[in-house]
Amino acid sequence: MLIAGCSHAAGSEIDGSEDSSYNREHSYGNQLAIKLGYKPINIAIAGSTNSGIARSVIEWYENNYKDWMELFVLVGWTDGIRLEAPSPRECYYEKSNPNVDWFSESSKDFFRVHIVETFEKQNDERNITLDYQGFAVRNENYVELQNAHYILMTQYYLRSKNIPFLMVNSSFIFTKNHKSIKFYKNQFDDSRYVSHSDNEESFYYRYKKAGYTNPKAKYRHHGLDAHSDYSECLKEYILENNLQVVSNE
Amino acid sequence: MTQKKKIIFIAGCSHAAGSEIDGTEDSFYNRQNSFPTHLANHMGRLHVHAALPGATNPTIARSLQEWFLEKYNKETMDVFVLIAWTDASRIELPSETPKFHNVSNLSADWFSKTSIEYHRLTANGLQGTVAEQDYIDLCQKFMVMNPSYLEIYTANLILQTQYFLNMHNIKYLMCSTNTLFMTRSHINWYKHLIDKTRFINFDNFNESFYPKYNNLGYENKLAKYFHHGAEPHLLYAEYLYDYIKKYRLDHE
Repeated sequence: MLIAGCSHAAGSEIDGSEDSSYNREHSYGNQLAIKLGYKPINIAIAGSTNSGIARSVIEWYENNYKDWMELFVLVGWTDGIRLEAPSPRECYYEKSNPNVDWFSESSKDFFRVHIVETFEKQNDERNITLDYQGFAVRNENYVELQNAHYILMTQYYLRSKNIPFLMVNSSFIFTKNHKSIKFYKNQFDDSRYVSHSDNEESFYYRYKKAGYTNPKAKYRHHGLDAHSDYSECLKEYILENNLQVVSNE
Repeated sequence: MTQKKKIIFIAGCSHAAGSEIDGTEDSFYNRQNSFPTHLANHMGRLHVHAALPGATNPTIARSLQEWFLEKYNKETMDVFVLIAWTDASRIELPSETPKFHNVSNLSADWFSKTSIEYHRLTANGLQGTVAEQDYIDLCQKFMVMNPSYLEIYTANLILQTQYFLNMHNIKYLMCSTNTLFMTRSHINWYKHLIDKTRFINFDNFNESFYPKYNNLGYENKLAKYFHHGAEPHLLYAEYLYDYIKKYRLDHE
């Protein structure tokens, strides 16, 4: 099972650290893989953007897939407001994700722009970041549409390759609900994208609302209990809906 | 068994719509003499000409999907798709007020209903209402400062469209009507995934419709903007048809 996503899918802070083999092994994706009899390949990267997540799925498949594999893909989409900017120099996000099972080479060409930024970046990246932030804040509808494009690109790619998949949200992704997003949401495969329009059902908020806390976490990440429960819910959902099989719909 | 109806669905911008062949932005004459319609005639297919002057690449990608959802019937139709991508620098912003692009595209065979929800923006010039101007200025500044971001977005749209068509087992050809990418290194990852057989002259934008015939010295005296006259359209249709035959792109 290929597991792509951001820090939530990487199991960040289950043991209090940003990345560790323990976190990955106990992340909801890895637990789900084991429960369904797959070998987990966890390529989630803390801080990922949705464009980076989409690219990582395609890049992994193009470089690693073999005919003898029985593959299932799990994608955990991240915050809708994160952007990715072409970088003037190589970025090394793998340094802060040493336990990732595979690292996307193309991600070195991009740096990530979050709306809340601590500015450890070099000057030229700082200026680009400010520019992107200004644009994103004024154009949330546009940024949400881009997220929908990345999701559809990934969905169409996986469908064109006849690969079974499941998509979930780790956090809020579509919040504005501008009328223009409706067309794209209507194209989402509802059975293979769990609660895509209900932000409260995204991994982080679902368990926050249910009262789960992680005393080891400095940032907003769940502990082992939430990951275990979510993996069980996803397993049941996959089995109930027969999602390990690709139908010719 | 009845034979399936052979259709070519055409999406693109003003170049594909044949704008200014007769000096006007849109007319039945322009559409009938545009390179996609000539290509439809060569291929013996009925055309659904959905190209729109001013269309952006997101408009083009969405209109294709929208037509398939609304009209496509795989039991009765044999569809070939021609996509003519436009400048990557154009963007489309969700609009609070309806934008009636259909009014200036009355000759289109089919019009994307969702287009009304978007404001189309090029990187320069006054566009939109006075109330929208501050917002548009900010967007235009971002567009000018970040061309590679927009190119990557277009590359994503090309791939999304390619995968959509593959998913439905639809035969297609893509071309560009102008320079799509400025060959920036950031686009390389996306470029290598694009099906080069089904995207004619992908790596040579001098062979895109407008620059190709501009470089050969063709002029359109009726045009106020950058649009070709009747002859380049005829020649480009033959060029595309020869390519389709050579690579058997209209075969299963």
